[in-house]
Amino acid sequence: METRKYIAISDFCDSHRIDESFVFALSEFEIVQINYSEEQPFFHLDELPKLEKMVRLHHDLNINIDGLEAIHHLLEKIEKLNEELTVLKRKLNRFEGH
Amino acid sequence: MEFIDYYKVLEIDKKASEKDIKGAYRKLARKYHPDLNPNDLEAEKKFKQINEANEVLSDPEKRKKYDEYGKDWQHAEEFEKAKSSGRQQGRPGGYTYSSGRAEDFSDFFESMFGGSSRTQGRNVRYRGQDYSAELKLNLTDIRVAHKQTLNLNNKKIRLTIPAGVEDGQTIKISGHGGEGINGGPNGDLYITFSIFNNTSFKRDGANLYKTVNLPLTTAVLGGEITLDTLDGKVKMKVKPETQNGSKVKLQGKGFPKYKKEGEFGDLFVTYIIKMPSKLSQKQKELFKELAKTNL
Repeated sequence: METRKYIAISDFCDSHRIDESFVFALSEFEIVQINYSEEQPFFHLDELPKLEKMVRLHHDLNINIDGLEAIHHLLEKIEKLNEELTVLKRKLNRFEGH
Repeated sequence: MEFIDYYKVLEIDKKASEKDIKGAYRKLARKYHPDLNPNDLEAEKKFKQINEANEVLSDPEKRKKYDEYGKDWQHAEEFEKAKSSGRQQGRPGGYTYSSGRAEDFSDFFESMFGGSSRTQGRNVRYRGQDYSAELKLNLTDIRVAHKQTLNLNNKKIRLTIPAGVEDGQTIKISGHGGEGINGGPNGDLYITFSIFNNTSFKRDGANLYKTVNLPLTTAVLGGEITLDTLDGKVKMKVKPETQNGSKVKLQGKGFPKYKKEGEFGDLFVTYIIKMPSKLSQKQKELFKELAKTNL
């Protein structure tokens, strides 16, 4: 079965029952990347987890777009710091092991 | 089955108003929401408890039943049977959670309320959470494709690790993360490899590096040495007049190239010429003879 690599914004918004303006606002804040074809705007499948996370935070915690942008940047920062921590821990283990 | 104090879970008083409950719930949900606490199973567990507590306490009917029978939850069933009216479907207004699932609720909740009314709400499909794990392997383990079974949340995942993976490299295993919600797709599993070098070689990608001590006479006159490689011992010819620090490349004797079956890197050998010590009288005399030749 072939997997769809692109998702139309209208399809996503229909299935999540959200207004398309929400996704466009996320795009303006550069949280998700939207592409445009002649027919309709769409996004790549890789953007889906991020977009769904934003919808959940918006619905579950009533967080507005400004808040989502702040969370997005902080989560990215945490992820980067965690990666650095993993690398440093590994280096320390190597150092302590020899 | 253990009694759960939902008031304690939401950190509120038993006399808390609907507004207090809503406020406490929002505060804790923001703190423990899984999307704000990636890869934190404790936060996820706590979030489910908060969710469950809110489900009960924010619904006047359920709260009443919980307050009456909570500590004697075993009688709740009798209470239900005695009631002639059917169960109320859903709840009016109130703050609904989109990421909750009936199976997320405790046995205690199920015994009292028989499932969540939320499942009748917004039927949004969510992709499951991504999981991350670290896998520690020895360098010698990844010389060949390596099969390993991981145990993640009581699920066995069979994995073939390609030969030549790098230290710190992350691979994605699609669909092995958290379960999707309401029929949504599963999340992915990300495995980061931590490779411990249990050999005497230094590794840089597919190339290996090794330093070999060479006796002075072998360096000067040439000869043959036996060298340990990852494939076993090999015999190597040493050219006469080999200089200290000179390097030799053994093509294809390095590490397997990642996802390039049958291709290997090279092994680089650096010669360190070992200067003799504790010379015998005869050896000293021979060196003196050599010295006379202006060597």
